[in-house]
Amino acid sequence: MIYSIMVMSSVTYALKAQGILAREGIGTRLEKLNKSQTLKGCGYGLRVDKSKLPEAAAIMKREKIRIIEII
Amino acid sequence: MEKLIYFDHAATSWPKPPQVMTAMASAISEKGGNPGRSGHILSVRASQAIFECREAVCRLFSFSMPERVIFTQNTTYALNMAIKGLVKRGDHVVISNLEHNSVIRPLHKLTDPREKNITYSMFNATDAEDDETVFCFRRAIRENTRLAVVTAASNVCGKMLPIEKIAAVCRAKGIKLIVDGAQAGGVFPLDFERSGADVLCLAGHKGLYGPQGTGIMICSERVEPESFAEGGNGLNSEERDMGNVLPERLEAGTLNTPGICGLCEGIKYVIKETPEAIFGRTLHLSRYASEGLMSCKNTVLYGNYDIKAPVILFNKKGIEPNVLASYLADNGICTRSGLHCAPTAHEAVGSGLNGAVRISFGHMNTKGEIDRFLRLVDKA
Repeated sequence: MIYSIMVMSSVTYALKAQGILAREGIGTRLEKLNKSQTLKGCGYGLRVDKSKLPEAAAIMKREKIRIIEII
Repeated sequence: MEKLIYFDHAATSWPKPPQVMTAMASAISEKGGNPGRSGHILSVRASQAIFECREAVCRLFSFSMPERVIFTQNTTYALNMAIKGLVKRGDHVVISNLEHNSVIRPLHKLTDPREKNITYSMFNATDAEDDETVFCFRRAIRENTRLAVVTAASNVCGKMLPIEKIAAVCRAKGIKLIVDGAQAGGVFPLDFERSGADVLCLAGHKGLYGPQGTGIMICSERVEPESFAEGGNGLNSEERDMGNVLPERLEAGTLNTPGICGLCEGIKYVIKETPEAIFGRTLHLSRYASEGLMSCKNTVLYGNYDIKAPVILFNKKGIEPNVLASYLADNGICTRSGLHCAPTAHEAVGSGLNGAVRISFGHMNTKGEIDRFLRLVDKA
């Protein structure tokens, strides 16, 4: 499956986002991340099916949860 | 040996609901990873369990932002974090005369010019009329007052302060309000959003029926306390500061996952029983005990308000409080004597520097237990 990772501000925001997306029918998986373009060390993100990414991103925007990077 | 009677819920609640202990054991055996540090199943389960507890806190206190629920060791740490994280050099702080040492001592330390050189004043909060309490609060405010710290309910006498009215004054004057909810959380209904408080500090192990070693700080969006302790938080490890994301900015080091899992079950228990029903029952018990004590020989009650948290403070003339508590303990009744870490509150209610005996109820206590206690006090 082709997927993207939405990098979130913290594990807490990632879990909050995961719950909201699950209620909207979008399954995700919590991913521990290392250094990326925006992360200066450790962080967390949500792995999401690429086809669902636009919808997931729109929901995050609506819920005012910041996606700090998409990998 | 008669069944132990526990009247010391204001210190810590006992017994805990069985599901609290089950959840703690399960946290150790099935969620044993470090929360927010790794990606394996044990760490993820621990992170999820902690987030579930943040959501439970939000449900109980009518708050919508689980990311602004911070876990601490106890209320004292939460208050220290809130006070030291918000006060600035030279600020003036207003507190009530019913505050616990967990408020007075951090402020006293901050008065040192080598610290933040702050000043603080106390207002009288013992009047039965809310408007008089608010008047006293307003009168204590100075031009440089930036912070107020007020208990929702006294741990000494159960007096409930008019938080919403005090918060309204604070808002109008640009003062941040920290509420000490150690004796309030789970004890009576408390709506954080509606209260108007900026920060609410709570004990996990009292009215929320969680284990000892758990506390909570709820932060509104109106405040951004500075970090209190620095260290690992699982985020941006290359950076030398704690970052600006809550709750991780204020949660340095590994969290107490077993404790938080137990706390989550305690909170769910309170939600199921409802704070309204718990308060109704304990208030009834409290009134019953107060009336009984008043008819016992030579007893003196302090701060005997009509509506209050289920805490009663009393003495028996001619008997030192520690001697009376010891006599009750020998007869299977757990109470607490002394100053209850709140000397100014004792002074305010008239029990003085020798203190008094405190009894405090949980909703599992019964009138039968109170009857046995009253017989012993009368006989003492």
